[in-house]
This record gives sequence, C-alpha cells and structure tokens, in this order.
Amino acid sequence: MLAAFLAAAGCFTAQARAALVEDYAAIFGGKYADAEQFLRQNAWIAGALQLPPDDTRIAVAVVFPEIIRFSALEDDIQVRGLKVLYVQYGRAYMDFSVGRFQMKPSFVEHLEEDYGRLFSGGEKAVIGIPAFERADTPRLREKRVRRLDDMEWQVRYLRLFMLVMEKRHGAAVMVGLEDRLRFYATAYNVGYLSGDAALRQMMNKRRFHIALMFPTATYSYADVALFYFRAH
Amino acid sequence: MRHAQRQFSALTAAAVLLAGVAGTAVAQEPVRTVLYSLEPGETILHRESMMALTAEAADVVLVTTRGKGDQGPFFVFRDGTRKGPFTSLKDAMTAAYAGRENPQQRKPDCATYAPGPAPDGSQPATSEDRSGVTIRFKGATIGPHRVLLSSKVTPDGARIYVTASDDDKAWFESSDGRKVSFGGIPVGFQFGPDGKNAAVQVEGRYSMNEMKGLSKLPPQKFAEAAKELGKKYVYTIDGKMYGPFDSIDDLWFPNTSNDLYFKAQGQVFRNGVPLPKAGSFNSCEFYPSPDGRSYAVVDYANITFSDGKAYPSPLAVVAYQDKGKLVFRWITLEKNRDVVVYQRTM
Repeated sequence: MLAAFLAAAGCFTAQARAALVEDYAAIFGGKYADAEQFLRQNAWIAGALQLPPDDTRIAVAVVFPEIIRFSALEDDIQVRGLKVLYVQYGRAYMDFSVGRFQMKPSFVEHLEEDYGRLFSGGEKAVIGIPAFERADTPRLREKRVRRLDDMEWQVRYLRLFMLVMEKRHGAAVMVGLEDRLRFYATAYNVGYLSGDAALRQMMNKRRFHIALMFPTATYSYADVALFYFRAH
Repeated sequence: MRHAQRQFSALTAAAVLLAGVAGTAVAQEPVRTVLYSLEPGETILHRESMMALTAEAADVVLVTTRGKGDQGPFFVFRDGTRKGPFTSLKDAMTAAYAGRENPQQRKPDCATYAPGPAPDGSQPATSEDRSGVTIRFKGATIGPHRVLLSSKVTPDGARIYVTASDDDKAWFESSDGRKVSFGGIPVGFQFGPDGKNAAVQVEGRYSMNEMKGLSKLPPQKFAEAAKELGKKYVYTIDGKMYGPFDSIDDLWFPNTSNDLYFKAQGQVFRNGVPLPKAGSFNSCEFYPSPDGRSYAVVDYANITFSDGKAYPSPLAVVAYQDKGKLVFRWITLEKNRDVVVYQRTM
C-alpha cells in the first residue's frame, strides 16, 4: 500500500513538472479559446452534472480536451454516415465520436451496462436516471444515437461516467485532486474499463491531437485537462 | 371480324393509356444499382471514404478494412475497381485519392435550403444620417430606419431582404417593393430557393417605444405584458401572419420547394397550414415535393416516403426536380454487404 502511494506520489511529481512545461492555450490557440467560450456560454452544464464542487471541476476538465477537438462541420459531414452504419449494423461500426464531448457509442454502451449492474434500484432513484434498456437492436441503437445527439444527454452520460468511475476505481490510490483529475481524464480518453495500473501507465502517453488524421504533434490528454483545471 | 379487331385494338390502346396515366400518378419503384460488394469481414472506413451524389453521377471512393479499429489490411474501391491489400492506412489513402479532391471538403447532406453568397458586386450601398440608415440596391431604396438589424442578398443577386426597426414598429422588406411592418423583434429570416418567398420570425408584439413604457406598468399589467413578450410569430414578405405560438423550434425553406415550413409547439406547418401525419423530424431530414403532396423523411434507420415505402437509411442522398417530378438518389449499405445506389421518382 505504502509502495503504491509513494510510487503514485513520485509519478505525480514528475508529471506535474512535465505538465507545467507546455502552454496548451498557446499551442491550440483559437480552438482552446473557443472551447473556453463554449463552457462560459453553457454554464448550465456545471449545475446539470449534480456533482459535488470538486467532482464538477474534474468532470468539466475531463471533457475539455474533447471540446477543443470538436468541429461542428466535421461532426455534420462525417459522423452522420457512421451513425447510420452503427444503427443498422451495430458493433462493427461503433468506433466514432459524437458531439462536444466526443462520446463514442462503445463508451456509452459500457456506461449504460455498468450503470445497470453497479447501482441498486435505490441508488438509481436518487440519481434520477432509470436503467437503460438492454439489447443489441437497431431500435435501441437509434435511441442511443439520438441521446448522443442531445447535449443534455451528453452531460448526463458525463455524470454517469463520474459515478461509475467512483464505483470501479474508487479504491485506487490518488494523490490529491490533480492526480485524480489526470487519472479520470486518462480513463475518459483511453477507456475506463482498463485496470488502475494500466490507466496509470497511460497517463503520460502522448496520443491526443486535433488533426483529422495523420497528426504531426501529439500531447498527453491528462496534461491538457490539467492545464484547464488549474486555470478554472 | 375486322370491326371487332379495331374495337379490341381501341380498347387495348385505351387500357395502355390509362395504365400509363395511373403509372405517372404514383411513385415509381426505385432503380437499384450495386456499386460494390464487401467481402466477409470487410467493413467500410466511412471517415476515410467519399460518397458524393448528383443528379448525373455517383462518385464513390471506399476505403475498407478487414481488421479491427485502425488495423488493416486495407482495401480501396475506386473508379469501379478494387485495389489492395494495403498494410498501412496511409498507403490506402494515397491510392484512394491520388489526383482527387480532399474528401474532407464535401458538404453535409441537409434538406434545408442554405443560400450561397451573393454574386460579386451585388452588395448594397448603406448610408446613415440623422434620419436613420438607408439601403440602396439596384435602384430600390429601403429606409431610412432607425436601426438596421440584418440583410441578405439572394444568390442570383436579384433582390435584398432586410429587417429593420423604428421606434414605433419593425420591418421586413424586399428591394422588389414588398414590405411588412409589425410590433415585436425580428429574430431571423429565411428565403426560398427561387429567392421570391421569404419569412421572418418575430418575438412579441411590442415596438421599441412600447417596451420602454413597460416598466411603468402596474405589476399585473407588467406580468401580462411579459407573457406577450415571449410569444412568437411568423410574418411572410407577402404580409401573412401566423401565430401567436409559445415556441417556434425551426423555420426553413427546403431545397426541393419554395414553400415555407416551420415547426411550432410540436406541429409542422406548410405555408401556415398544419401538415398532417408529419411526425417528428429534423428539418435537415425532410424532403417535400414542390406541391407538398409527397415527401421523404431520412433518419438513422430508414428513408421513408409519404407513400409508406421505406428503405435502409442513406449514407448520402440528393433530391432534385426533373421534368416537374421530385427525384431521389441515395447510397446505402444493404445487408452489411452491398453498396447500392437507388433512384426513385415521386
């Protein structure tokens, strides 16, 4: 336990130093500023998350890099066809991102399943979101895509992500709020189904970019989230 | 005998003629053309592929994979031939688009009319003095008005539409002389593909002067006035008024028609008349015919026509008029295997 704590602390310190080096507002320029403006114009998101203040700050920072990356035009052109293929044919076509928070149908399917499995009926009543229908059919896939098209539903799914993360990774060693943010941001970016150790290993990987394809520069998703978290 | 044969021939000709007339009164069955058939385990990389439809052609480039996620091997279908396997996506993309337009530059499919820019040199002349703002366009004068709110020239450069406000009323005007005034705040206008039909969405019915006086009202009158401020109206350039509505969710002209459509309080209206059995749809997904008697609705599962016929949802769709009829062309993936082009005339 102590070894894990010290490892996490040492890892965090090195990461914190690295995270201070890059100015992501300057690197991403107008897209970073647009993402900040989107959150200012949609201040309702924080309240709609219905989370404690620290968790709200973490949740918003977790999705911030995706808001930088989101392009409304690319969303319109590219993603509609992918939605059609996913609704009609399911899993073979579920690896695409939708909306401001760039959520994938695969991510949402896992969330819906874990929400049904990990939360009691009483807990669901308190959360205020009923269990999701479970079946792999075109009808339910279309309902899921329609929810992903809805910003309010993306916020609900973000809230569920935070609650499911607490259930699945609540025992993981976290050294303070910033370490927790980086851990959650990594889970959001690479997939939260991975184990604690695997997510920790991914925290410093530089895989995040905003190019459509074949990027020339990549960054740590967790560091970009942390940069925003520290400024807000 | 010869007389009987002539009678039979006449009857046969009449039957054929009637059948022909009846055939043109109903939608035709679609013409189906298979462009490409995926092999077992092969999936389309839609983001890397291109499917562009016009009235004349189907331009399709497919990048496919037999691996999972971004794993290969990759294949390319282009100009009627299949190439590959490629081990890297980069090589596949090079093979797919050598000498071609960047696939990211295509526009999204949407049934609503979005006017392009006005021709060069067709911008209005605007001047301002103590009497207000005046717009001059092709010999016509609009104004002066106290405040110019918005303006747009039609893509053919024939006319300009303007919203403006004075202290006692607001305006929606066209340089062809048509104008309508009203209380309330214009919040946005649209015009149709031919540039002649136009409509503006308006909030409330109070002029600027009346709104300044609201704060002096006693509480109950103020509360009533506040409710009225939230009401929504639609005014056409020809002077028709629709409303009040508690909400207007959308106002548009489709690519396929010069009729005004708007969605208010959950109901779809065509030229102010409720559209029966319209269901719930996004305006981008709704393709009505010019006479409003038939339409197609595209959602993620199907393209569904007003005659009840439905087909798997298109990956690309175009609708256009040909000899007075509305024609649909679309590309779909059928049975997770065949990339098919359909054409159907309504």
